[in-house]
Amino acid sequence: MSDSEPRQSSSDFGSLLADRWLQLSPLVDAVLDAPRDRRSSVLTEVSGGDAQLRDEIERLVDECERAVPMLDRPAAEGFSHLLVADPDAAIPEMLGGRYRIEREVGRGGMARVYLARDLKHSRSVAVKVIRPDLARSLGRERFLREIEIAARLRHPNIVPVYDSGDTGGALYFVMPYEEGPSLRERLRVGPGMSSGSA
Amino acid sequence: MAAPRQMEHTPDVDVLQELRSGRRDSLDRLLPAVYEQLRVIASRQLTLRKGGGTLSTTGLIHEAYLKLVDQSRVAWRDRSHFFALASVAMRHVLVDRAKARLAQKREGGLRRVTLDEEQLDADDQAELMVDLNDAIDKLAVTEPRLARVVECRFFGGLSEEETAEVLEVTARTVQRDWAKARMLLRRALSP
Repeated sequence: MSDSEPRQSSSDFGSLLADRWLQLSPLVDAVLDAPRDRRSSVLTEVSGGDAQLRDEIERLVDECERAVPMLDRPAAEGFSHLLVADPDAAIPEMLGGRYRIEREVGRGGMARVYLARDLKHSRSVAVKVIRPDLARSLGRERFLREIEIAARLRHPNIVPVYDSGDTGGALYFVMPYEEGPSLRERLRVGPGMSSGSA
Repeated sequence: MAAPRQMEHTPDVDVLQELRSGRRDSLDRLLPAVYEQLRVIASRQLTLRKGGGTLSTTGLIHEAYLKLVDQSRVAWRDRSHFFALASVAMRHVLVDRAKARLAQKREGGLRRVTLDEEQLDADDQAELMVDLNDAIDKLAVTEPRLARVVECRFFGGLSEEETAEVLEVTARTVQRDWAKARMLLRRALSP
């Protein structure tokens, strides 16, 4: 091993070579451990009168104590974007060239429900959009089959399905929109994914 | 000694029993269960907090812990083992997500993202996380304990005291190690 020929090994830290660091580390420890008002004399002491070494250690100690924004918060905070399930693929304003989304009116574990305007028939409708990640992991076919079954049903306790479709991977179906407290209840027992009602 | 059992996808895994055995392979077998819990809990919390608020890692890990372990049988010693494991799991979760995102997105960063940034968009977070992960692997070659401190403090969100308990060193040592690790990683990732 030759000191005169600096080499960049895979475990170096930028320009600070790993071997060099292992020599300096205990000296840095000594300075970090010293009370503030003793730092200067400890620095002089550990560097044994070598001014260049003293500077080097001092710089390392300073860097040990400066803020490092992306490390000073826990990873789940500074890197929180990485934990988002599926950046909720923003719902397009218009679905199937016919339903204009007005606002979200409810959400559950599997889907979100929006109030939309059915431009073709000038009426308000409820559009239920299945979470894209769920549709993917549970299988689109299953949802499509359930929508198909629900669309054929006629029963006073089942909200009829007007229409259904697919927008950029997100499945949706369209139901009558009714104001009032019965909506939630009817949506719940409606063409949801409960196999009991199917 | 724990009886051999199938645990891959068993939700009510006897985590404590496994941890007590202290065998490396049992930790490896537990990781997927912890990983899955953290991933699910984190996604759910972020959905709920959309539009504001930050995520508490300690909250995540405590919730995963409660889900996986029967609280009534827990001793502190076991809790610290769990924290160590959860910190590793959190590292895997973040790095896996980052790699998946990079694979999907652009071909290569236009600029080097450093640890000195205050806020990063999703793509930059992914890039920095992958670089950081490599840098921590390299740190582990030279200074294995410092790399463990980074796992506990940064990925696990553990306090100095909790980290000291996990690594069986003093809190003062953790404090020093953490300061040095931050400096070394920052250097490793500086242009």
